[in-house]
Amino acid sequence: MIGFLLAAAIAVTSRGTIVAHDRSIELHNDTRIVWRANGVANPSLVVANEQQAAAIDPLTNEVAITDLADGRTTIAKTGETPIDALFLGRDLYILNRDSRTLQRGNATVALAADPAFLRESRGTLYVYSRLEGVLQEIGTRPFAIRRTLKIAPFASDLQLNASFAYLTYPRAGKLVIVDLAKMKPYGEQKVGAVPVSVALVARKLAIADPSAKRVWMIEGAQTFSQAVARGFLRGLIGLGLNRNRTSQFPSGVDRVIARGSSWIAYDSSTGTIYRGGKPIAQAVGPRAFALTREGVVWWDDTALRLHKSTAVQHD
Amino acid sequence: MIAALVLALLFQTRIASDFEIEQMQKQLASSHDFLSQLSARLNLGDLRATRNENALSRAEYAKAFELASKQRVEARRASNLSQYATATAYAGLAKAKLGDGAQAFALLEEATRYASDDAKTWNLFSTAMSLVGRTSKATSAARNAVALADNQLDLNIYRYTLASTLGDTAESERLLVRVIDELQSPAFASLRREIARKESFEIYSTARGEEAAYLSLLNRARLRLASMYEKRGDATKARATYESVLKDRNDEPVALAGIARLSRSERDYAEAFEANPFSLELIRDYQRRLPNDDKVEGDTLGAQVRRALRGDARAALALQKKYPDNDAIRSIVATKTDVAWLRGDVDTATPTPAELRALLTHQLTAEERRALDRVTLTANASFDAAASASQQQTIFETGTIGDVKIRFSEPTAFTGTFAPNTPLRLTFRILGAADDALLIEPLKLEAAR
Repeated sequence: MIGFLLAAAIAVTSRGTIVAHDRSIELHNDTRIVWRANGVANPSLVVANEQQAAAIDPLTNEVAITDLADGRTTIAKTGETPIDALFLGRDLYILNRDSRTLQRGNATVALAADPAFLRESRGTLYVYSRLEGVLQEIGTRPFAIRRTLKIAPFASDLQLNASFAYLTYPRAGKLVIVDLAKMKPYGEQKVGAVPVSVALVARKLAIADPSAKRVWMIEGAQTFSQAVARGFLRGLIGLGLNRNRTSQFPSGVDRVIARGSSWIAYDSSTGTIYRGGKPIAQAVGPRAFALTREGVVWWDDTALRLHKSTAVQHD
Repeated sequence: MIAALVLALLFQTRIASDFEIEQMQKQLASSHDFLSQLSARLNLGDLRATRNENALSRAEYAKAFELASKQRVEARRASNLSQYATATAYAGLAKAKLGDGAQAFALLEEATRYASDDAKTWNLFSTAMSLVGRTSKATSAARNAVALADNQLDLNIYRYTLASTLGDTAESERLLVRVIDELQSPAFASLRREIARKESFEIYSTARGEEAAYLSLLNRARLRLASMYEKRGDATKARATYESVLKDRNDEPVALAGIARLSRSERDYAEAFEANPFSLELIRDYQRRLPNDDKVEGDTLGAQVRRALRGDARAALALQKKYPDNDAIRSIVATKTDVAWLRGDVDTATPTPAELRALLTHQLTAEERRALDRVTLTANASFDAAASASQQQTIFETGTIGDVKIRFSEPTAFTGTFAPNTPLRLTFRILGAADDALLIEPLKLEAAR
């Protein structure tokens, strides 16, 4: 029943969908496998740029880096427990939680305790460390920490736009906003009961609350940051995924992902992807689905097949 | 919440006393809440594991995993996310005990999404990662638990967990000494009085309640420290620390085994075997360094096991009959045979297929090898068809005696015409075993009588 938890990860690229599973990394284009190469045993995340994809294995401390053109792959050791990664330009950055480092090739930057999320905004990297409640801004040239902000510990998610960082705090039931330019707290807002995951949906925020079994969103034309800047919020309105806004999810969704104005919700206790209040796939790994321009793709680890659907939510 | 009280079992075995197993079975029957059921299953699994009842142990862990999996779905349905995190962490621990490192890690990662502020969850994470051999991850998780601890008993549990991940290091020793000192300090005086009043003594890996946690933690911390001293060759400190454990519980099997290792005295081994006759660590130690040739007296289970280990094949087989599911007994029997013609007092014999089959897996003693080299065996064999030979000659290479495969070192020509796949009387010596067949030196082939 929980075999899906750490079985596969996918990423959408301009050349097709990269699927990493069972020591294998593959490029899928429509229903065809373009190439297949050796990968890592327990892929938890795949990231990609225009030239390469990288699949990380947090259990064995490995990364498989693959050329998208021909599938040529190298497998390298990482620091202890790589749990997040991203490409910035041609450079791959890997966040190693248990060695408390951010890694670029052989270079590393030491981080605060329990670093959990790696994000990028305007060419600058940001790492949030849960235990110490620290947001660190890291430059790439030179590769070093620039500024550190102490905020509340134990956030469960972090997303950035050009100006702000948004962090969810499940126990406190709130969203905290940080002004990235000033590297200072900007404000905070109670959101539902247990906000766990946040996504930027065009100019809005979508916040998954598994306790309320809802995704909370900010309605209206104002961005969240603008609303906060004016000292008021027009309110956070709980939305079911039905257009009539009356339905609740049958289970508590705790992840929400977005691409442009489209978004989908996910329940990691059952591995269910939801759209419009209804499940479109079950027993899917937490990183084994992604939004494309046309819809959503996910990896079926039982049938070893990539599925597609054009069914996504737009706001 | 029992998470805080989960103690790492790492590299330490402890006899599962019948009393503790009985207590856990009573708990299963009388308390039906999730944590009671879960802790009972985990403890029973650990207790069975110390007795090398591995199939039973795995069955308990599998039940613990089923319980936790069911609970995590129910907790999510009820929007109880704290309970979801707890159940998910325990599902991860159960998976680790079942040896599935990938699923254990994934589940504990999921638990920390919801409870990264919870020391108990990190402690479970650490214990699970140690169980699957991911020591660096275990150390990191334990450090998080120590940093987040919010009471003194829990803090010392997490220090012990951290020490367990650090191996034989100065930091580990400092942590263990500190744990023991603090547990013996006035801060825990009232808890000690309560333990004395209730005459509590039980040791569990998943302890519920402060008293059980205190006793279990003090026991494990002392045992680990004693083992560390022993490995370093500091016999005086090791013995003193093992003896401090025995002051609280005089049948503590790990401490008794430690003292036996230090003394090499048959009397100390006897006590250790009485406390846990099924400890593989003790059995292997005893096999490596049999103290002397004195006859083993008595009919206790420990005495029977020692007799079996001293070469009494009949004692070994009797134990196997009595404890068919015990892997420790199985391992003892694997080194013994009841093959009479291997005792060295005969030159010829007619082996049964069962006796020949036993040789495929049996590790011969030096005496048995000498007997095997000397004895000439005769049995009915059936051969596979081989290359044709000249008239009045038959070539065979492989065949069977009963259901036991046999082979010659090369195709061998026998004088006379013999049909394949027909019983023939073969006189032979055994040269050894290769793959799943006995390697035979043929001496004579004739028609079956």
